[in-house]
Amino acid sequence: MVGALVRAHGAGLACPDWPLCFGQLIPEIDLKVGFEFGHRVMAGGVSLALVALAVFVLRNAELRARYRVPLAAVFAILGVQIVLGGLTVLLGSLAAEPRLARLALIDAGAAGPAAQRRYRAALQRMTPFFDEGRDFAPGGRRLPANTSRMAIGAVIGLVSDEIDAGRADRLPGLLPEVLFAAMVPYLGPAAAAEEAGKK
Amino acid sequence: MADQIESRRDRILVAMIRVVGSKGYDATSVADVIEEAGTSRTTFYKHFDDKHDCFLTAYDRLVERVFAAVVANCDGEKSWLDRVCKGLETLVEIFALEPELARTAVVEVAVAGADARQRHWDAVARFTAYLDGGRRLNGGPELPEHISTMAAGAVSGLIFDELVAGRAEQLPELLPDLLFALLVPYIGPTAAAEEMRRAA
Repeated sequence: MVGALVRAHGAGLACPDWPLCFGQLIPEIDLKVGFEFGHRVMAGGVSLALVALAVFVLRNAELRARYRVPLAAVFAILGVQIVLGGLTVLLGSLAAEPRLARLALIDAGAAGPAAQRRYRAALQRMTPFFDEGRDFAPGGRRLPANTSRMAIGAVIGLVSDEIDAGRADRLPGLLPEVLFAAMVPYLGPAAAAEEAGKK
Repeated sequence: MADQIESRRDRILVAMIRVVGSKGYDATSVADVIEEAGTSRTTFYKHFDDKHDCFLTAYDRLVERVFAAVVANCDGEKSWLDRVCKGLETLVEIFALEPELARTAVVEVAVAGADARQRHWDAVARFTAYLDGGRRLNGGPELPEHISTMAAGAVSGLIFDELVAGRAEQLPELLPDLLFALLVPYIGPTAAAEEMRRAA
């Protein structure tokens, strides 16, 4: 719900950096920063509480046997929420600034070898974010080392295609497909389509 | 005589692909191309308006050649899965044997302007049309409209990184991963990993 409020107020990038906000632990608060900062505090708190709960459950053999499956399901839901939140902000920002979107995703790749290397390196910085999916995938540890790069390639392929065709304004409508592309290497088509279909 | 003229034009087109692949599109001049082709400047301008016009023609021919080779190698295969595996294997072999062609086809085309990029997208669409047969494999979920664009994006991202790093010759080692990337949206990670192990 807090995530929906952030989205409705266009506050996803009100804090331009992460994990700090404007380089501060507690930033100056206005309406948008308040929504985004409050969202981070709450999401961080829930995540920490879940990690503490998981540690508690996994250290006790009886609890572990009984609650392992529901615990994995809760972490799966959390992972989907994180990916969904990040991609919603990304697509919204690109749609709001089509010229910036073109500069970031098309022109950067067209500006010679040095720019291309930087562009690819910037994309690779997103790999840990995508690789969270391994924890929720059946047999996630056995997936290829390049799985996150594949997910990024699939997302960038979809988004670049729209931007290069001058359809950046339609990007938010593409969210279910982008979400499917990000999750399918980890979850498979049935589960990824189900998650994407909820949006 | 007509054959000779066609052969000079062909030599220029082949040279354009090679030079752009080794020097980069921006750094390539008409002088470089005619030197590589062993033709005169007059011959070049008899056939093409300028470097860009020549590049677009050369790119179209490159796509036709690669597409014909891929289709010829995979059309004999019975199942969709075998056709996709064979097609990807052929593409990777061509790229590994001709690194300059690969760099021109995947990396330098992005530098050569909007019309060149459009040709690239069109070429990708021709290859991905072959993937759409995979929709019928998975009777369960309704797959997204742009699923083949995702699969192509995943594969071309991996290939792009290898080419930018100058590792075209090592692309065949990446074939299992590329296969996984291409198949996973259609058949899921478990079955795609199985195909990957078969290819390794």
